[in-house]
Amino acid sequence: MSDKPGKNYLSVCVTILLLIQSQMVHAVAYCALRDPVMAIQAFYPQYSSYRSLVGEVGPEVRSVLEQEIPYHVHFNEFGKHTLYLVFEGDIAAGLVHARTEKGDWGLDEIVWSLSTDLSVRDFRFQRSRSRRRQAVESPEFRALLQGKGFSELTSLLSKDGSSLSQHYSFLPNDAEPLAATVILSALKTIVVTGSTWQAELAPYVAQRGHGAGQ
Amino acid sequence: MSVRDYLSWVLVCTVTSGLAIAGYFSWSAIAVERMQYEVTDYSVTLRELDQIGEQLDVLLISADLSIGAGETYTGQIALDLLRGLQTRFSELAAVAAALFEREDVDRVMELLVTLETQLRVQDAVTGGHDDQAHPVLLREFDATSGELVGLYQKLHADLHLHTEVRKDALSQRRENLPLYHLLALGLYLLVSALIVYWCSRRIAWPLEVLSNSAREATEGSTPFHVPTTKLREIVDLGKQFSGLVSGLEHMVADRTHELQEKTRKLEAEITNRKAVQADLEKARLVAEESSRAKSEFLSVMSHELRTPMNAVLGALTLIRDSGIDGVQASYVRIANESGQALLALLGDILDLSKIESGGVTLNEQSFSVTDLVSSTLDILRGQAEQKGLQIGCVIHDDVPDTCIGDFDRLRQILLNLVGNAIKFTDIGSVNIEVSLEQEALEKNMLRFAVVDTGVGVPQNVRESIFDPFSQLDSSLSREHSGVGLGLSICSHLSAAMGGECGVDSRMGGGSIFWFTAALPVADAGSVEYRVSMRAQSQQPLPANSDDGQSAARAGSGDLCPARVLIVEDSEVNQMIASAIIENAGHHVEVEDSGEGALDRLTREQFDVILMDIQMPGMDGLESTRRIRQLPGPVAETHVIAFSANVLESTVDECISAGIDDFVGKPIDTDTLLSKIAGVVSGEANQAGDLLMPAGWVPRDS
Repeated sequence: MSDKPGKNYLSVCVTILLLIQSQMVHAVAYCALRDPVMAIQAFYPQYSSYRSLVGEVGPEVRSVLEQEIPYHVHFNEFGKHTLYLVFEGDIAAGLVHARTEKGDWGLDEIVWSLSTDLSVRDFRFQRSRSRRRQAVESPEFRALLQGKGFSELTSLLSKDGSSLSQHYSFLPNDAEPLAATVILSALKTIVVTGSTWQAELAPYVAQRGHGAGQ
Repeated sequence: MSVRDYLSWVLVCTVTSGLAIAGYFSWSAIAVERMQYEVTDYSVTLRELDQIGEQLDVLLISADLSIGAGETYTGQIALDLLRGLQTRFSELAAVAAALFEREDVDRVMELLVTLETQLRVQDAVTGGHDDQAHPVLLREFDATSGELVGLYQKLHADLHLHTEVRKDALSQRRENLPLYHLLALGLYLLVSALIVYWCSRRIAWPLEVLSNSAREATEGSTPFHVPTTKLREIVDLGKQFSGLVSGLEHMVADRTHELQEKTRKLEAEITNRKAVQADLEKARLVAEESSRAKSEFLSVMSHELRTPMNAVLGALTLIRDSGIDGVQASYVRIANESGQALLALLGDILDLSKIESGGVTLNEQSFSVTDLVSSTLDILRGQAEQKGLQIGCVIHDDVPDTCIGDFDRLRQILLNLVGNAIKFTDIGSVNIEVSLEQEALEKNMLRFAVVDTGVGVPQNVRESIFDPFSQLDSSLSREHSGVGLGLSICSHLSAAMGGECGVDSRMGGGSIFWFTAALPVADAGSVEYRVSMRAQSQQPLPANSDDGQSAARAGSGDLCPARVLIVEDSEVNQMIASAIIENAGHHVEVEDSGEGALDRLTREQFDVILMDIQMPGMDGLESTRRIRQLPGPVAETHVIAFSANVLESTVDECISAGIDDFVGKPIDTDTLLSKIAGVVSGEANQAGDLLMPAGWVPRDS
């Protein structure tokens, strides 16, 4: 919560408590696109069709995350999640998936567009109340992430993953925590997608450097 | 306006500026304190707003979970949080209303209400079981929550900015406060200095002008004028000064006039004094000339009278020694006594003349009082015994035996007084009594009294008896001789010694003639004057010439005859002296001048040279000097001066010229022959141990 002075552990604890409680009680896919068609249309203007792939995210995924991601991550979004496989004709053009992260004010919801090789094609905020949203959503930062896979994205973060490994002039200093959250969200998306929908995506996944199952 | 008014103004201005500076210091301190309070208020409000923000964050998480993911339970939590947030924010807004824009506060409250509504709608729509939020509600929720966050951030940013601004202002104020205080203090000092300067210009300047004007007026360069000023006291002071100066000017003019008048009188007086002084100077010169002429006259008279007296007395001595019979011898004795009396009278006259002309000089030498009295008695004892009188003395115990004074003059007085007493006493005694009349630190006043049992002094003559030529009995039938000079001389001499002379007498009951003298006391062992040295020479000339026949004769004793050279211009004196010396058995040669004596001495040697002092051509002194310069033993020849001039200055000249001895004129036969005999026998006094002539008393001392 870089927009507010000071951190309050109370908010963190409450959030964790709420998330745990929510997944335990409902396990609903709150990491969901509000309007999938509009989102797919935005990322893939030439799309012809898409498939909704519902997957069950369980505690094993958290183990995978802890193994794959070299940072301490919180992941409690257990339950059913929906992954959208977008086609342009017969060709699988890419994937669309939404993820929720703790933001400065409430929860940030990020819609990710991935290539079939699980590299980042693009992203959009479905919700973010941070005043640095625009800076992070700028074309420059999006271009920075586009085409990058897991390891490349990891290199963009500092050792503890809380900030960027280097400074970018197009990013204000106070926007870096949000940018780091976005990159960490991208890493989790890649790992969760590769781990959860490995079988469904196998026919379409291009042989690239890094995938969830690799 | 008065000086007091000015000073009052200065006091008021100074106090006012002092109060102003004190007020400024207090105000600045209060302002800083107020700013501190304000910063504290802002900081507290900001912390409260931070906590509200954290609560809003939790609220939004709950709302997101509720509305976005359809979490009913979290929706209830969100509602609880929302109500708490509403309460907290409204309370903060009420307390810190001045810190927030009212519109913003109202909008926040509206948004919170909207958010509550949306949460309740979501709860109503889903019923807690719909896992899909209403899309429209979701968009509205995002819009509402987004605006709420933005508004919160705006409020927070504004409050933070204001807080920082105030903190900066407070810090700046605190940093600048010493400078401001210093500037204020400097301003105060400047104002005070200006006030003092203004005051000094207003007060000191007129005083300075007044002082300068007074000084210039005092110096007389310019007239006094009152300075132009509004200060009443200075104007009054100037007027008083002006009056004072005017009065002083008048006084000075008066005094100057008086001074000029007195100066004129003094100048006239000085002129007169100068004239008188000139007259006095002329008179003094005349008196000095008269005195010198008198001295010369006395000297000449002394010589001219003594010279024939020498011849007379010498001739009488020769007649006496020529073997005359009793009647003739008595005539010669009478003539000799008359000559001696005449000689004494001549000495008294010379003494009195010297004393009256101020020519007396007293010797200062230590002597024994006992010697003084005994020597006097020794001299006169013969006369007293001839008259059958007892003679003695009494010296009181408190009289110091050793004193300092003129022994000869003291004895001269005593001789006069005792001689008179013997003269006027037929039966009884004559005594000398010495007492201490007054003891003093430096000088003692001694009293010498001669007590006789004589006829006494009549009352009517006691006053005048000490006047010159005063006689106790001036009748043609008086019994005693004398001209009346002795007592006058005594009176003058005692006065010269710081004392006086007087007489106490009773007719038929005797008299006491006394005199006093102030004499310093000397140490007992320091007696300089020994009467024994002079006793022989002070013997009076024997009245009976038979005594003179007992004088030393060269041929009648064991003494060898001496070769005597007489240097004398007077034929009478040559004859007298030659006869006296030849009658004593000595061989005599005569020269009538110094030149002749020197010539003879180159050819002959003598045992004794009898040298007259006053001679035409080369005098005796110069002749003696030449003799002392002759080669060989002749230069050591014994020279005896003889002269009728017995002044002390003459004696001194003789000593310095090398003369060995001195005899006065008229020649005392025994003395002269004794001196010659002493030379022959080798007992003559050594050079420089000059013996004075017989009967000689230093007349001018």
